[in-house]
Amino acid sequence: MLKAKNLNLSRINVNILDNISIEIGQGEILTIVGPSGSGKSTIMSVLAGLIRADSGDVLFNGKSIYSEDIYQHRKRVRYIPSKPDFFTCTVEEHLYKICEYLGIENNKGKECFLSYFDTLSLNENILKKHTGDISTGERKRIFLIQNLLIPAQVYLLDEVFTGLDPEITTNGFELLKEISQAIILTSHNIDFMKKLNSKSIFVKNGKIITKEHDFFKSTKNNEVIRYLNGGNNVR
Amino acid sequence: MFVNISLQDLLFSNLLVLGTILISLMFSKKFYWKILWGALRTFAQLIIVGYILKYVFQYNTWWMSLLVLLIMHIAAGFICIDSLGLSYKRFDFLFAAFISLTIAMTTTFIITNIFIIHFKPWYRADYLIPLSGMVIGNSINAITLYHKNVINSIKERKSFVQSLISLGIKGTTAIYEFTSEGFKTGIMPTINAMLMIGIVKLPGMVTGQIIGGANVTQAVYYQIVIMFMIAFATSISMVIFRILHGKLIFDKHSFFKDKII
Repeated sequence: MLKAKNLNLSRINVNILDNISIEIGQGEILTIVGPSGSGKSTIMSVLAGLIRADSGDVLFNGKSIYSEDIYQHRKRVRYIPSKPDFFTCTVEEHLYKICEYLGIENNKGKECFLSYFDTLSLNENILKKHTGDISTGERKRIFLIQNLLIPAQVYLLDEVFTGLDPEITTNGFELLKEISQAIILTSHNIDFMKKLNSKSIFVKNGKIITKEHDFFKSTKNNEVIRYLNGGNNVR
Repeated sequence: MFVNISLQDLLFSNLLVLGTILISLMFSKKFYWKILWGALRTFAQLIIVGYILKYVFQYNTWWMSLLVLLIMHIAAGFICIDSLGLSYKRFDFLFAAFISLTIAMTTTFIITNIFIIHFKPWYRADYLIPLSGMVIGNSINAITLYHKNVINSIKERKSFVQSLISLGIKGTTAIYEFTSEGFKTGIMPTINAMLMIGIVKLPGMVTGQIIGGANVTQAVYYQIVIMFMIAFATSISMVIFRILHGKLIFDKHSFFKDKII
């Protein structure tokens, strides 16, 4: 469904992506694990068509995204970053502005975004709050909702559930699984990713170190073991 | 009666420069070079321009007027690039500034000549050139302020712009809020000038015309027209620059194209 082929990217003589190739099929979940600064977010940004690699290609259903309408690609393969940013206004005005940009009528838009409030444990009072005054957890959930107004086929989740309580994380993730056809995610929450029992890759310095299916249990790679045991302190 | 300034009088004006230098010495021992350099530049530039304009006004041909305007616009483009802090090699930005200023000035002068100041022929150098000189400076400032404002906003909130682009929105649409803010910032000095004029500040043109013997009412009418020409040219130059600027920041896929971001 979504495939990255030999992606290379460097900036000021530093390799950010070094020959990255990954693939995800319909109904699959792929977790990307690795220390901070290893290139996880960049891989996702390239897959979502937000950054262009120096070389290599991204294919969706066998066709290069650069030869097709990339705006359509961004709608169907959606990257959700770890740090959401909003218009400077109330949450409601923000969501209406997003609806306007997406060509959704205000009434339909409101109906749509309110339908996710229960699942994500949000109260309607938040709509009147200024986007600068809501908590980190609320920001993440409102941003998630903004990305559900036009559902994507593949979601690329970059630390989206970090800082959210376990119940909201489970509900949010189940919701995305239901709506989309595939999910790629990255998180430093090893326990959460272990539970998914999904296809995983481990990256470091822009390189894929291992692609073992469930390396959380079976890996013999020392670097991976050290990361899994010690958290983020792989050197 | 008009009071002439003789060459001797002009040389005596350097007494004022000398005074400025002496005052500056009280605060810094090295700063006087800058004042001297500024005074020299003013002297040389205006004397040279005076001779050129004398010649241009005398012969008053369409190609000579257009040539002077072309040189003024190219120089304006370079001044823009300089105030944007970009290298002169950035011909794309230079071209964008040049085109925006040219379109703004052309439309402003066509409208002015048809409806307001009916100078004939349309290339009459003693009207076209001084009026352009007064209008173009404000457009340069507006473009510079617009660019700086938009680029800084994008740099500060790149993740916000990307989050809109990731929804399938075009880059130029994603920065709409920033470009609107940039437009307001760019036109603000012109609005402030319109508010201050006559109360705090009597512009050079009014003073010049009155000393030159013109009727005060006429001098004031001219200044009003000039202010409106400045406001119009400023907005047109920013509108055109906004379109071209967007193409310099994003490529056709809305990838950030420029290294200045």
